[in-house]
Amino acid sequence: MTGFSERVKGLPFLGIGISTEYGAAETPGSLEPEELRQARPSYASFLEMGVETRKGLDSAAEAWLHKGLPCTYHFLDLNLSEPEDFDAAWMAQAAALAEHMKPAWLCGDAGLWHFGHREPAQMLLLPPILTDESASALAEGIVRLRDSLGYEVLPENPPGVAYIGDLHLLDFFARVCDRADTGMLLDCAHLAIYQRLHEHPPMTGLDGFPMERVIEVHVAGAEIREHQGFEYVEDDHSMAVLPETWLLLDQVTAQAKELRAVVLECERNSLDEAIAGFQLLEARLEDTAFGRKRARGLP
Amino acid sequence: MHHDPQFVEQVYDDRDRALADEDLGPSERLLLTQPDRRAWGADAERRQRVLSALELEFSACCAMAEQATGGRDCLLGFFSSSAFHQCVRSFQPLVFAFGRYLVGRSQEGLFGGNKVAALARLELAAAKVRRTESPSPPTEGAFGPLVMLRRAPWIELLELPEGTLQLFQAMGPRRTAAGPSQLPSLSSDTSEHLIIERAQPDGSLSIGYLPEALFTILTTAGEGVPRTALVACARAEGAEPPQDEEVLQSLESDRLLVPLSDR
Repeated sequence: MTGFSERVKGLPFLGIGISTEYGAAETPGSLEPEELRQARPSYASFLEMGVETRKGLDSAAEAWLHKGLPCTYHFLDLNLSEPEDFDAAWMAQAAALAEHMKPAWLCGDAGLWHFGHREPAQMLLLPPILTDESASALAEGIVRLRDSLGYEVLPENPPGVAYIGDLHLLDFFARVCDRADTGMLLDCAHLAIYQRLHEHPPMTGLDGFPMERVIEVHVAGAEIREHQGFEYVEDDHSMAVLPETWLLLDQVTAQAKELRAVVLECERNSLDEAIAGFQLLEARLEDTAFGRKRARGLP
Repeated sequence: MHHDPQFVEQVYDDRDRALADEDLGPSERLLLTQPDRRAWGADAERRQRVLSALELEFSACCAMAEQATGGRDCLLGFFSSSAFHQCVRSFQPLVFAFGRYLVGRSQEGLFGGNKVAALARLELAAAKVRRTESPSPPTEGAFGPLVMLRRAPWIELLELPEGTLQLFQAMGPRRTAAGPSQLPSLSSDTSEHLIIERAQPDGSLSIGYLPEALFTILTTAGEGVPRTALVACARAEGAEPPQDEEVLQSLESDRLLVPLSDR
């Protein structure tokens, strides 16, 4: 198969977009993707659709597709590192959804979306085990899904409060990207959470990370919480973006020459709150290669 | 460890002992105690969320257990049970482990007695049927005498104390256990035979009574017996020729008995 450095040339430039998942827009006070697109089309250039195969797509997602607007398929129910999770039923459903959606690519948190069976009571989101062996297993899953569905599969660094393993998160994903020869969805908010949890400076590990593989970036707000004196950060998708998340965004967008898409995850906020967040994001991106491409409206 | 705070304490206090049954080497055990011990419990609502998801399929027995014990602690105990840990190890659906836990604990008298045990068995059987394959289309033509027949995989048979189905239905669609004195009581010495089946074409469940003779024939069929054995079983249950053959044909046409080759 052609290497990623060649395949990346075929990936579209999507610009700034938003994310959603089944039923999100129906929650009172939540952002309606079409409402944002009508008000500020440049902040809703594409829709990242969080998909559980058993739920499918909601009416907001279907309406988006009906207009022929760009999207990405963000899976919410596949443990990439577990071969048994690629069962025939899931693969068939995912293939049918991808055929229907025609996404620019697939992406998703590369951790555990469930323990054991893919059952409602067993759904969760845990980060991967940060070991060399786990990186290989994850890479195999990415290649398998990419080969099966015919789309690029971008692993995303998940959030967490308890990480296990002897590798730094970025070293782990550098190995995953290399072994799967894939691009990456780097979530700056999740990375900031990881760095803070481990008392690392925000930029730790970025120097060894293959920034040319970053195709998509996420930004979101978070809340600092405490449990029995233990301080941790909850990835709550509010508009309270951590300062170090913005710093990471600056650093990543300065170096990620193949960046195609930036998502502000704000589906639980009002339209006015979201627009204020997008304005901050837009200003940070303005003087980057991504911002200039976006301004020209060119890939 | 995200679900069981007692287990977290055991692992951090003596990981080799706590993890003795797990397929983990010394370095992997060490990794598990890397995070701050408190981090495992940071999502304090996790167990409640999972329990709420499980309760969707065990609403009747959970409501009754909660009322009998005065809260949800009895149900949250599942996450520290061997049933839960064995389920995580063995890659089984959690609903089955939860159902077995409810049956076991209620039979021990911990959750308020025989009503909870009967309802738990009923709802566990329903959970199993929900996860079976859809009914296959009927096979063309009559079956020969030597064909191997089995009980259809999309049904479950239950022998429960008389009054169980009435109790289940009396709790209504919201499965409320308010006013236990108003709910039907269960017989302590007679039983009823129930069948739960996945109906075509929408896959919804139906629960109904089954005559004891048909219950016996379907139970005998089990995972597969020659058709002649089931005809003999029908006769033993009192069906004279040609009724014995008619009984079998009825079970076959209703897709309650299917050829073993349909598997």
